[in-house]
Amino acid sequence: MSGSATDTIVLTVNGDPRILKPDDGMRRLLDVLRDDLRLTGTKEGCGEGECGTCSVLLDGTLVNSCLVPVAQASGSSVLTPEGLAATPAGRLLAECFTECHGAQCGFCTPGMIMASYALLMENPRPDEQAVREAISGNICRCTGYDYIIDAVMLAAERGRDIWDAR
Amino acid sequence: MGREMKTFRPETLAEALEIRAAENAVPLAGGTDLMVRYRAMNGLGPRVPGPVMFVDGIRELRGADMTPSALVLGASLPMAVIAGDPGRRAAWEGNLDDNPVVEGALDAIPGVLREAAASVGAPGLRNRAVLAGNLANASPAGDTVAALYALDAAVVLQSVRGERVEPVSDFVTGPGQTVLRDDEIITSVRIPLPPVDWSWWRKVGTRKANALTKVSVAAAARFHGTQVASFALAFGAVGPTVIRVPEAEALIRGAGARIESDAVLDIIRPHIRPIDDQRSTAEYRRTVALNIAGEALGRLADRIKETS
Repeated sequence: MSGSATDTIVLTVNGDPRILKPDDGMRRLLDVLRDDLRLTGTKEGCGEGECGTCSVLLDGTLVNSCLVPVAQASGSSVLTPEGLAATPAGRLLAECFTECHGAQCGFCTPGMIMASYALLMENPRPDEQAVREAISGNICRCTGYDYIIDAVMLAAERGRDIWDAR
Repeated sequence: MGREMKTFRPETLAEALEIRAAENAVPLAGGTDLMVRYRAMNGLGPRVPGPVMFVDGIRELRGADMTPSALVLGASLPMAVIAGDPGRRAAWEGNLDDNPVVEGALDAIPGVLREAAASVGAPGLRNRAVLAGNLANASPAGDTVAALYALDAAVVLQSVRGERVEPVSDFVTGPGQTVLRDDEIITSVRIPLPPVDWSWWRKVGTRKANALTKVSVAAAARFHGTQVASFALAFGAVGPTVIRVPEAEALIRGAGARIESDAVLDIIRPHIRPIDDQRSTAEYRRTVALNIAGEALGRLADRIKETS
């Protein structure tokens, strides 16, 4: 039947093309990233879209990879924490999270950084409220959030060149 | 992992309707409800009973249009776009070849629906969750569903047999229950024009983000001079579906600046029949529903005073 997704699934992950079997269509993007591609920076917390640890960017848009069947990422670009970490923006965010003590146990940190990056790419001069809203889908049980918000505000300030050139 | 699951990803509505009719495939747009409902063990992927049809690529469902009598919102519009998130909206409209969004249509989305969409989940969820999914899920706590009740919206359903249009209050028949047939898909939502002059949204949850609604109120009104020409007050999560109380709404119509809130709330009270569940208690919901309904009436009265 035409229009079926029983074609090969082709997605780009951190710039590299990846090919999956058609039968894999309903597998979660999260599992493909972690199990097949060994990109374990993307974490599984709740598996229900509530905690944000599995956050990645799909064609530049923040999504919970536990809720995305991989067939829906076919033809799209995925950016994971590993891909972001290799860029100046990713290095800057990591540096600011470190300086501000924005990571304690670290489990939420990759997702927090993806959500922060999504924010700064859209709004390079966020106020505190905008930062709180942007990370509202990312749960942290250690920091009490304030240090994370400091980190994002610092990254906004220190990375003006990066965000303005986006 | 080798478990085969039949999936389809049509690009046109015509194809989608054929697949739906032939396979009874479950339509999946953003997946924010279905991927949770059918969740299996970690690493295994969801177990949907039957074939799945991804509807995210269907051009006809992604747009927004205006006719003389209605604002027509495509079934696949994400919550973030409905809420008016500037970045998401620009990206959505940016690719106009792909997205038939008529100029001004997104600006015409009433405040109550915009705010209801903005109160769903969190940014990552709102980027995926779509209008039709909230309707098809048919939860009495569905935020955009309550707003659509207050706006007298209608749901457009299509199949290979044709099209039918159901008022949202007829579309939803119970918790998780709708009149959607096995061969139909939701293609759009129609919100009557001219637009409402005033609307109001209030959701109460455990926290602001990622909290399912304990109780919500959506209100909308049209004015004729200083008279209220039409008024709607919809309650979420206080019964098996979103509810409205026509007798109470009738008291407001033509009331002018003198709104007898207590009398209106007295009429509403017996219709608020919430349940105890993991999110809240019936008693809390009843009290808060009436309190925020009172607040809505107060805001409406303020607005009438401003205009008179």
